[in-house]
Amino acid sequence: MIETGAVARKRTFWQELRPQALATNSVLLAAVVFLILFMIWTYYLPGGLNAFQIKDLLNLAQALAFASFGATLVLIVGGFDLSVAGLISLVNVLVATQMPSSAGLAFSFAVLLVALGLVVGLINGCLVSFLRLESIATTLATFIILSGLALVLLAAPGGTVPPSFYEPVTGIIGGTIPVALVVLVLLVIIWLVIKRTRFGVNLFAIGADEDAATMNGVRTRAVKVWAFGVAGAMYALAGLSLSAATSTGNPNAGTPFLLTTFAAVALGGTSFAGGKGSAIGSIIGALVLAIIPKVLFVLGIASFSTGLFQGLVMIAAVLLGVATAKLGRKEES
Amino acid sequence: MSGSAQADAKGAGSKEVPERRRKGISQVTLVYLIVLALIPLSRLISPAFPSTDQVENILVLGSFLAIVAFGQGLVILTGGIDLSVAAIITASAVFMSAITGAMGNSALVGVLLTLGVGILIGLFNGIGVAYLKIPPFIMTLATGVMATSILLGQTNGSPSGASPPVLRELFGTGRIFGIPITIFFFAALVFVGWLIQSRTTYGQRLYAVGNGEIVARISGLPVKQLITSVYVVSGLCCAIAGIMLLGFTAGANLSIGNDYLLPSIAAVVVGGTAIKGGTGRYLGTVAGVLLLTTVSTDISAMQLSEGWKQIVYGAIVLAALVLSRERPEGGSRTNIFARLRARKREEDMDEGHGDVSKGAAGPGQSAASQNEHRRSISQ
Repeated sequence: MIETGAVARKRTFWQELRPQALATNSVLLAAVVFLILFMIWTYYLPGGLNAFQIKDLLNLAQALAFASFGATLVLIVGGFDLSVAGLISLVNVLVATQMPSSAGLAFSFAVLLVALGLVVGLINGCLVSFLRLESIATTLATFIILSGLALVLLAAPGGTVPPSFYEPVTGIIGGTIPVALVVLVLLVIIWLVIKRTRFGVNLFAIGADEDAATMNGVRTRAVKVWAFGVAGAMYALAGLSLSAATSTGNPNAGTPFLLTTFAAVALGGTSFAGGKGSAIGSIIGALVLAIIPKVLFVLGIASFSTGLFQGLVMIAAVLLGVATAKLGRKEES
Repeated sequence: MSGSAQADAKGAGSKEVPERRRKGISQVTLVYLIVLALIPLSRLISPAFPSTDQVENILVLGSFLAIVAFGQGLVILTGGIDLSVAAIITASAVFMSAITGAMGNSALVGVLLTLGVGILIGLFNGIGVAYLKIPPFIMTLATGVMATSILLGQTNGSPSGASPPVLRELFGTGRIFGIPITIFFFAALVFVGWLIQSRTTYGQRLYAVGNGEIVARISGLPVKQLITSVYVVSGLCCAIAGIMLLGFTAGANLSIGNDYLLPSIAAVVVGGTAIKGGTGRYLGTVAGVLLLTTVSTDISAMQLSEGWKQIVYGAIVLAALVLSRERPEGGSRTNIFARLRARKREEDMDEGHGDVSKGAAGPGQSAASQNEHRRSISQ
């Protein structure tokens, strides 16, 4: 590329869509992949597209969007958080077995669960940043403990989610706008706000160079603890959306999220080495992963191969990330 | 450039391997002592304990975990992690029962083909991690999910294979001098595992890779081949465990390997191996295996659910992490962030001037590697 430095970043929208530019913008690339899959899906969809099918897709994507939003925060500060799967299972089981059926109490209970997620995340964060334990090993341990708790509370799939909770959450406003769409837009706005706050800037600073950030007066440990904390709250929200979408409990409900969360994050171009990433990319990645089973279904491919495709997409996304990073660096130099 | 490489070499080399290993011994001894104390203490849980049956049970059940944990330990030694072990164990058991049952092959052919399957899956992992530079955690997770997905498709969700009589005899009912044959396998495995990891050049090279890939590469070690090999060994170990489990349980099912993923990592961590690689010994892992299996039999005897077992496992891992942390570890530089940064730096170097081992300073030095250079000087 001839463009250099700051000039390269000031491309117009249409310039962004040229092949060379697209290869260095993973968020836009993920969006293009989603649009292509979306078009294939709607083309083969019997009876054409309607608001209910979009609602169905977004309800599925919503849980993953929350989970990958949280995972993105931790990855940006340079950590790994495997507790996502355990927390989703635990929240799902708690909703299916303990949630009160009256609407007001149900939503208070949901708020309580988000607080639980925050606390679990803060504990993870304290273990990682104050005791300086390895984040993979630590969150693996909390993942085992949380899924153990889920199993103790509910040994086999079962339980029911009160309709007073899942109906408003998975519904359609005024027959046209799915609630999940509003939630996803809100998530994008939350990310845009976080990115501009001191907390958001510090996240990237720590991920890029923790020592430099410390020397520049960033309270590294506190920021890391809060990154894990907010991530925990997001995983609890993911567990709540999953419970609303499936309306039943399963002590292993979170396990598939171990792969799909990090696949969505990788698709969205967040680096596994820290310092770089975007929750918007992760949300689009979640949409891609949610639409894959639907596309496979309308194309008549057996449902068991969903895992095969998700695995391949994940590897492809990471490889693309590596290639993109190299291209990006070449462009800047 | 070369200055930066030296700084990195110093940074990675300052971990002082012998000293760390000495510390490892004390943690390993501690775990063995806990196991020895736990077995008589089992009396508190059940009046039938302690008994020779209990010890026999621990050794038989532990042997399956011990072999999976050997492969997992080598992977972790190089700084990786293998999350596909459960899928490979299940795939091997199902494959073995299918190929000897429905297809009517002899047990020996079945064993050889099954080991081949394990090696192939491991190779796939290894190539992804070593050559394509995909993070181990991601690569092995994806491999595991894909293998499970293929298995589900091939068996339509319900495999109906029995175990060949030879396996049933070897790992299920067979006894020599009144001792289950599996226990002799366990003893042999501990010896071979210790030999490979601590007394061969191959083992020593893995420590070198785990302590710093750049140093290992500059020293002329075939780092990529070594990293690939540990995933192959892990795949092979899982295939062996799958075959043994098939004989033990007398039939394959799709959840046969599920109980081995987290315990295999837990056993390695409890045994004093740091998850960031470069330290740890197989005898430590065996101690971890015995501890987890003892706790597991106690929990089963208390009639507590599977969930409690997981909670206790998780607590043991956390305790092991905290305990091994309290020994001075060479300051704050040993956390995962430092390791990931070191890896990033290495990538920059790869790009900036090709093969470091040749010491060739390429003319097209990128801005990134200049920054790295400056940073490494300032440290």
